[in-house]
Amino acid sequence: MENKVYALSSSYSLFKGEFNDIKYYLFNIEDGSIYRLNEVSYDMLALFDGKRDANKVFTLFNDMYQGEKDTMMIDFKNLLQTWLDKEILITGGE
Amino acid sequence: MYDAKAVENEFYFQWHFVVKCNLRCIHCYQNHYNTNELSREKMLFIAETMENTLKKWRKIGRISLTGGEPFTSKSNLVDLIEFFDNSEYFGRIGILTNGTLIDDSIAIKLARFGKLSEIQVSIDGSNARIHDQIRGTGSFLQAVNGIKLLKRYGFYVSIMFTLHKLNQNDVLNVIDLANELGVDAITIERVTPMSENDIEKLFISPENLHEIYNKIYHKKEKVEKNSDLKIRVSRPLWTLINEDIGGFCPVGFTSLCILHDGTILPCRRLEIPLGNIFSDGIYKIWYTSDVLWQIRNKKLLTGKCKECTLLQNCGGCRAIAYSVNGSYMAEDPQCWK
Ligand SMILES: C[S@@+](CC[C@H](N)C(=O)[O-])C[C@H]1O[C@@H](n2cnc3c(N)ncnc32)[C@H](O)[C@@H]1O
Ligand code: SF4
Ligand code: SF4
Repeated sequence: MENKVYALSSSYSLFKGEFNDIKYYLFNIEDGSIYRLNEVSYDMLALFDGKRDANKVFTLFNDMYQGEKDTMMIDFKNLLQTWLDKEILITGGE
Repeated sequence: MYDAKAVENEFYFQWHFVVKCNLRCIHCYQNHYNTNELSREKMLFIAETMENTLKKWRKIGRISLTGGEPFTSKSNLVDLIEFFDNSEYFGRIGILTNGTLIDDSIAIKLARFGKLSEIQVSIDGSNARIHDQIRGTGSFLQAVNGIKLLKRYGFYVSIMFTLHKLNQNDVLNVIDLANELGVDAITIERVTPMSENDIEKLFISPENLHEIYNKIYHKKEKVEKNSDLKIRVSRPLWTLINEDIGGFCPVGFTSLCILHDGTILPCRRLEIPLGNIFSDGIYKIWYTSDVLWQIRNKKLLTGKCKECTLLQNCGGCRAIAYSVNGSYMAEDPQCWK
């Protein structure tokens, strides 16, 4: 995987809240769209802080979920690509 | 026609589009009354931002236009109502007024708006002595004449009675007055004290409030049997009188307040600025405000409210909790449970 740094686009805001159950959201604060996330997607998105590179994020993510590494890498890359395509994650950071 | 499903899908905006006022009521949450009004373009921007939000959320908007005193700015008032009346995203429109500046010519102009479903007039006492002590000399007569005039034009008129120490013994008489005037509904709302001085002068103890709410409820049972007047009891604390009434406040869930300069508050009485509609828009505030997320989370309530069995139908008033207890997640200081 490339050694790139990604961050959440400033058009988006991540939210995790503990109500009767835990709720995870991704909000587009410009066009108002609301996306309900699952825990895995939330945790992964939250790790892209604009400082860590994608490899580091994957290591942390893999530690969190302790799955089989190769399968996890495939899922990770797919999700990353989707978010990049949708411009939810953007290249670069601080 | 009242459509329960549409109401369930409503989002409420209270827009204080003007600060100017001809009165200076002693309990008023405003502390200044002279600021330039926004340009028409800016007002239109606010109205369109609300409209776009409703479209995105697939909600029906309900709007109350108020101030200050909305009738100090009649042409803006009429123009804004025209905008919302023509908007497919807005259902009901209301005006909240002190009733003192209403004449035939403005009533005629307003009568043509089909969505203008309620004009709320503030009455804080059943006679000039009590009302004028709070709202200023001559204001009782003017407000009562305003109500009569609005009723002649066939408007749905409600009375807002803001309850505090200075008028607590007069509330049942105001209900009688509402009936005599042929008013359609009355809301009795507790004052939110805005200072230590207000707390001392205006705040009613839980025990006294309990007694007053009991009396109002008994009166309601009688009055509603014999007339068309509705006494509204869908607010926090009423469920303590009867578990079938009361309600959780929509603040943070389905309502927002916008001030004359675009500042957004959770509620006019909960004076915590969340941002400004011009610089932040509505989405950013609605999705990212910590204050709103806390208010939405009943688990974060503290004090008596936290474990209360009546919570689903009450939750207390967050604004009064904030002004008296210093925290908007604290228990309601007037709860007698
Ligand atoms: C601010 S006024 C604006 C409309 C108009 N000027 C009027 O008096 O009705 C709207 C309502 O808020 C009420 N109000 C003002 N200050 C309040 C406070 N500190 N706590 C509770 N209600 C308050 C008024 O009595 C009035 O019924
Ligand atoms: S009339 Fe309304 S805005 Fe004016 S001072 Fe009284 S409560 Fe405040
Ligand atoms: S404790 Fe809180 S929720 Fe329960 S009745 Fe009192 S104010 Fe309402």
